[in-house]
Amino acid sequence: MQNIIETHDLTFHFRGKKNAVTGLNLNVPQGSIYGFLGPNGAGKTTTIRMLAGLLFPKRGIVKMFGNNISTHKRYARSHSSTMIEEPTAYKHLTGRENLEILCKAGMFDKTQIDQVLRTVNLFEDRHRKVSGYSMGMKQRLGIAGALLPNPELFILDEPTNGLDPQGMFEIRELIVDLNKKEGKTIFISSHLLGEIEKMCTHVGIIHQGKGIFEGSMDELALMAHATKLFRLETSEPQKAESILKDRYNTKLTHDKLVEIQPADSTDQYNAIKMLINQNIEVYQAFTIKNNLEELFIQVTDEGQNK
Amino acid sequence: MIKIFNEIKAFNGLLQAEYLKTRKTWAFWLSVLGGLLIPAIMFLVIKSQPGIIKNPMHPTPWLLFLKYNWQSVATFLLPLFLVLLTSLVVQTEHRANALKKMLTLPNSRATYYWAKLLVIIYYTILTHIVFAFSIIVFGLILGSLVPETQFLDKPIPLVMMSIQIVKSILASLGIIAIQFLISLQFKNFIKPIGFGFATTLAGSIMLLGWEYVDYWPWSLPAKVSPGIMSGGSSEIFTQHEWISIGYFLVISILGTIYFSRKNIK
Ligand SMILES: Nc1ncnc2c1ncn2[C@@H]1O[C@H](COP(=O)(O)OP(=O)(O)O)[C@@H](O)[C@H]1O
Ligand SMILES: [Mg+2]
Repeated sequence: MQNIIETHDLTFHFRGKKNAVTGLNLNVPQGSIYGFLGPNGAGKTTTIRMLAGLLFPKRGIVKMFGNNISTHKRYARSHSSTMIEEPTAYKHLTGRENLEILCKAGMFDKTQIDQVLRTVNLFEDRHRKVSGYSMGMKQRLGIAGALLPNPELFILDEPTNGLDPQGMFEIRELIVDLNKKEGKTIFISSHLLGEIEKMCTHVGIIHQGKGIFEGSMDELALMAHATKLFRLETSEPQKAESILKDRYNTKLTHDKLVEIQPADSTDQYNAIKMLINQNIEVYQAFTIKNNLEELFIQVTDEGQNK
Repeated sequence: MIKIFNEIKAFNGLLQAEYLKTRKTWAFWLSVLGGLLIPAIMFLVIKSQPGIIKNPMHPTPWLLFLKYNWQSVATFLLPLFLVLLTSLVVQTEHRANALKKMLTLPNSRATYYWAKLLVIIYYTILTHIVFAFSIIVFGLILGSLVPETQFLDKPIPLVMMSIQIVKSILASLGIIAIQFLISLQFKNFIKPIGFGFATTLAGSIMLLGWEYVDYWPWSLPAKVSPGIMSGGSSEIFTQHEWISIGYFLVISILGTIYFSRKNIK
């Protein structure tokens, strides 16, 4: 078995709204840390709810462990564990009692509770009521709940939301450990590229419900470096933009620089020449390496304009 | 065979989980205090006016005491209790954002649905037992404080009390099934409570003389236990219990099918 999760043409819309997820194809290799990246409202949670069997796709299928989950739901559930967005917590009970309930309901091993609480740094606070927990502590309790069954596959929806940098770091360490030491597959969503970049082996980018990139982290980096950006400071940025628009993929940066994506140095030369021919003063022109951050903004921006 | 055994084990686990969730909530205290309330009030009333319990038609004060108690609860307070209880139990889940977690555990949605339903029935039984127990305790106290009430001289009608409890619980099942489904559907608990309050109120008006009141789930408890002392049937299964059980089964089975296919947003 190559892919532990596969979706084909996955589509969902909420009643009376346009599609939240459209024709999404995902391939999550076994043993990967797969970052599911997209800005807020892109459709990450909706997708994950379909993976978890909470929402039924309007179109398309989800395969987990090689089988369609609509016929093999129980197998998929007992070999994976899911945490979705704001964590589940009975606030009138203590952290430990919350995990005890999960153990009873899911028939998980009760003796794991203390271990798991230590892993997420909640052991000291285990007898406190969850109503007194901070946002980050609740989030960590949610992660503890996901760790309890110790399955092959973890599906985590923005698990570091609400955590401070130290907490984020610890969760990343935990995820990398689970992957490296125990060979678990982890599917993790985030709207922060920086986070995905730091721990993932594979990445899928979703924007406005559509998949716009999928591949290994290296492929993404390659793609980023392959696209060079050329910026020009001019006397009349707006006019310059409209002139270059016809020939190049052009945009105006917020500091009023005209930016194009040149194929080669001839392109750069031609761009400068065009502007000067139109009597626009060019003060400086320089290339910058596209980094992942720029690429992410770029691809999600393109989606916006479509 | 092993599959059935696993299913039972899963159900048992879920049931215990449901109990742990609700044990420290108002659902529990509502069941206990709700069962105590009317017997305590009746106690105060009779203590100040022992006359009302002495009736030449009744050879024992217990029957009259039972009648006053059941009449006070069955029409309005018991249905309302069931409406509140069901909403509270389900609300615990909504407030914890728990559906999305519970329904991704290995169990089926049907198992989850019935485990929760059973916990509500458990609290319903609890409140009935507290109710009967308080009647006995307050009756005995009355007997020792006001000897002429004769509570101590006459035997406690334990058999009749047990029959009343069973009949009343059976007559409650229809309300529970309907209110459960509605509470599950709406996160805002005002909706199921408002609905149940209105239907209970409507039922108490219908009881004044509408011919189809026998089919109105929220009126069924009033139709069974309070009447026994004044010549009503003391069979456990009469028309009204069957109607309630019918509602319970039909609504819960349809509810299970609906819930199993519902998108959890
Ligand atoms: N319960 C819901 N009802 C209606 N629309 C929803 C609901 N949940 C999400 N949406 C819509 O679906 C789209 C995708 O949302 P979501 O999957 O939550 O995005 P993400 O998790 O990537 O932030 C958004 O446009 C959002 O408004
Ligand atoms: Mg989300």
